[in-house]
Amino acid sequence: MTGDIATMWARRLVPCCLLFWQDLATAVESPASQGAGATLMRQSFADQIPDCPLRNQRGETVRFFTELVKGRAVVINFFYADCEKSCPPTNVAIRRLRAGLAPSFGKSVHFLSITLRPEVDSVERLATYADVNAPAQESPDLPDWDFLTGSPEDILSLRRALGMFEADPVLDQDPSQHGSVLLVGNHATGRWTKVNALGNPERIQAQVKRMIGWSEAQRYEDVRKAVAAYRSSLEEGNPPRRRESGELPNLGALVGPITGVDAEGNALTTVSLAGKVVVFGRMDTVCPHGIQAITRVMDRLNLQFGHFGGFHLVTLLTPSLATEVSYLNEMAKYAGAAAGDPWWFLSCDPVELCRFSERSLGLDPSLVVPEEERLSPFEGEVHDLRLVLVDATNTVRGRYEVFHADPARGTAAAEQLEADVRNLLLQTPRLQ
Amino acid sequence: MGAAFHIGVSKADDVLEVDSQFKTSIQNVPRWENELPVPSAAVPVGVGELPPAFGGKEVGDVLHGTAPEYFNQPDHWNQFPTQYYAVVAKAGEGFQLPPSMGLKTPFWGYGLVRPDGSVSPAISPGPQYRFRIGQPAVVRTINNLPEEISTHMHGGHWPSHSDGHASFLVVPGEARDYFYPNVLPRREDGTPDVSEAPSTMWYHDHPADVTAAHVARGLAGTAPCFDDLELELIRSGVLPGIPGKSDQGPAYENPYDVYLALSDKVYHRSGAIWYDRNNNNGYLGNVETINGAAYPRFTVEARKYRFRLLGASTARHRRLRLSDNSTFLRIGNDAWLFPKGQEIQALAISPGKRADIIIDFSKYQPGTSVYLENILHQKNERGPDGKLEDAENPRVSGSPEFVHQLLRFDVVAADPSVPNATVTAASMLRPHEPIHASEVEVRRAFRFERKQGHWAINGKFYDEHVANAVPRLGSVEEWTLQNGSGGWWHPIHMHLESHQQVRNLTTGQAPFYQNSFKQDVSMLGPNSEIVIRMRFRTFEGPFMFHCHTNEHEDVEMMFQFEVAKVASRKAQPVQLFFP
Ligand SMILES: [Cu+2]
Repeated sequence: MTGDIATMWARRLVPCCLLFWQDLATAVESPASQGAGATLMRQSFADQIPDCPLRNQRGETVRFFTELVKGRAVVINFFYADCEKSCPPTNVAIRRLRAGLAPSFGKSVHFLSITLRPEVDSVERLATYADVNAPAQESPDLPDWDFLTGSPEDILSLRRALGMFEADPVLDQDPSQHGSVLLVGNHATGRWTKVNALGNPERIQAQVKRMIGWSEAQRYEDVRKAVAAYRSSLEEGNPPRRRESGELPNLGALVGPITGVDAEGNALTTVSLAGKVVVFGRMDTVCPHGIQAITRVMDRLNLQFGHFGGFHLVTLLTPSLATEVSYLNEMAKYAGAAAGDPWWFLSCDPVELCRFSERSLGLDPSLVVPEEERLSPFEGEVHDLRLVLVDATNTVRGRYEVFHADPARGTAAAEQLEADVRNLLLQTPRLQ
Repeated sequence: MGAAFHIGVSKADDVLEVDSQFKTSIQNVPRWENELPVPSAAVPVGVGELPPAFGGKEVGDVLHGTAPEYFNQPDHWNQFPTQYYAVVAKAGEGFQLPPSMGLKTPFWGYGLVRPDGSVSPAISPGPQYRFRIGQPAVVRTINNLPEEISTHMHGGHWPSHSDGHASFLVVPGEARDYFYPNVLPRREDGTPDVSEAPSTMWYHDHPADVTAAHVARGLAGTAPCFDDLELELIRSGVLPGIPGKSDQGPAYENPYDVYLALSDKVYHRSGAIWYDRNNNNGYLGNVETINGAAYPRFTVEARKYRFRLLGASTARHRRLRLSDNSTFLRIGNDAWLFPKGQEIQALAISPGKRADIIIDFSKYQPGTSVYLENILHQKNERGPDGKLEDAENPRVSGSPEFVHQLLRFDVVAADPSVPNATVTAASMLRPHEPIHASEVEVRRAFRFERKQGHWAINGKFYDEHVANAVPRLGSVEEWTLQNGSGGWWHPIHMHLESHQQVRNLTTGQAPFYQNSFKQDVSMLGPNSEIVIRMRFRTFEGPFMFHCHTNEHEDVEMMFQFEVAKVASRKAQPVQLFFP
């Protein structure tokens, strides 16, 4: 197979160089010479992209370079269908990016997900995977997203050529090492970079637009917007500090603190969190879907803001669930919190927890489900599982239904929460 | 040169290995045909008042504006009238390979605007700014390239707006007025810190994601800076120069003080520079250039010369010596002169670093040729062979022994009308003010590592909205820099001020002489760990710190610290932002 690629390269180099000479001839002393640079860079890269055949989720055979990359803008990642670690959050990020790029790019950007386990991920499996991540009915106007498989040798050579390869063989065998990397590029303009999908979504979107935009207008639209905002703040006589748009509502002050016991048995009180931006989550439920949704969002907040000063997460539990210290530890581990993260798991008195969540956080009271309506013996109560955002002055600024029957609405709430936390942190005076 | 007497063996046929992917690259380049290009001085378009070449547009009256500090200058910033420059980043073409090969190379460079408003052709390396402490400069930078740029003046002390921050760009067709006040940071008692006056700066492009490709294509240049102390060293004949001429601005004309910007390239057989934008590990070329010319020769008088060596490669490390293994005097590291020079036989230079050296050619007979050669083998992007601790080891190693000659010096008789410089290892140069442990206000630790197919710091990636450290304006901090990625070398660059290496936690030893004063790039060898101290003075706002292997910084091995009135031990959202 590798021999084939070598011959294929050799074959393609000939026309490529001819083209090249032409470019140089016209480049001399003409304004078009500025484009020549991009052309040269593009061709040096294009020489290396194998034109191997791959099969997509519809069973069609496509040539990687000539049919998927040449002259196109692409976002490429490597995944495998059984991945439970870095692929699912990467897919969430790709969906977000795809929706974000749709208004300005339409179909002029192409998402390509290539399997790392071609032995297992057949066309049929890709089709199922595609149905989950990019259902055809929801995406007629979104950029195309194709899922690709091929021969293991071809996929390895592809990864090498695209730089999605670890020199260390042990690292290379660990899919989490490349699971969240997006290779974004525009073959026509010659601009390529790699982006980590798990970063700040706003930044990723701006970065991708800048890197693969077709025109200068498309590439630098966001920079020009930021300049305009900066200049108007100067004209207003304000110091040119970064501000996010959109004021958050003021939903009332916390009436009092809550105290609880952490996994080490220490009594902790939220009084000591004054001056910080805090997100509270109730987890006194046995609903596994609710716990999963809440912890996933809180984990992401921890990933995004856990290293910031002035940010804290509090998960509230009741002793009926947290009878043992080990349960709190398990919970923290399950949620993804590490020692030293600003994330408390507190076991609280049930009465106090009810009072705090109703009076201070403004959550709805828990409903007791009549015995005859219970679907399972565990379904004793229905809790308001919204996450609550509290600012540095102990004022509630938002409640977010991140666990919602409609997953799209849950995701939207989680994104809003993330944006609002960032916004509040910007306005918060810095703590030592 | 038929009768030339060669010191050391001429090895004009050794070939650097190149990645097999570049199948149509040029393999053999004739040596010593090119004359060494010596960068010419950038001429200001005006001094003291807004020049006509600015087209009636006041400073700051361009899309990206100027630094707020420009409008708020303390009196002591204006010892001399402001110099105004205008420069256009644009494409150019010229001979980098020897003209006998008949191949011109397209590149990206800078063309200076002349006082009459016309624009000179682009050159790479770009025009040489010659700055003077006490004399502010405004450089209107116009971007006529199809991609965004951001010019970092490396080694200086600048406002955040004008520092070449990775996210403070100049988009195509627009301009930014870079304001370089050329001031010294002040001590707590208000006196200027003369120890911090930079000598050897350079500038290069620094935009997020695309720095490496842009630097490889030629967006870089040189910028010496002079202060009273250094001018006096030239006037009194200690440092090489023509007394009465080389110490006079604005030209500071000095035939005996020469930058050598080292950069390796891969050339396509058409003469174009090849760069693979999808290799994010490091770009290694098989052809070595100096000041934009492949394997040049340089005619020198039999006297002392000052060379300002510059690691302008994106990823290649070098260890340099003279072909006869004779000693030379190292007088500075990065931007700053040492208190006293040190006689050495070899020095290491990584991407981003500078080394100020004095070579005394008076020991050679006119007609002699001697070579500058690289004896550090680097087979892959990870880093060179050998250990960091061998930086001054002049012995060649490898099998076969690795020696790659970069430059030939041809010695001719000295002009008797100019006396030889008197500098020796005993000469007093620039005083040094060590930072003491008692001054440290905050300690932080940063680990540079490979993570999730990216380059990371403390597990995080560059985000222009995050200030990863917030030091207090005027404070001193102590940072531990740790290399956590198996086998990779990372030269770590801190913007804003110099830093001082105080300990090497890996060897347990104090840094060796050359690294014990001020640096702006500190080398982290494989699995090494060092402690640095740094002052954060004069300017508030975000500044970068990152790996200077440009490919690594592009895939996010880059952080920023935001200097502010109130410090924070943890990351914070960035507050000041100058898009
Ligand atoms: Cu590095």
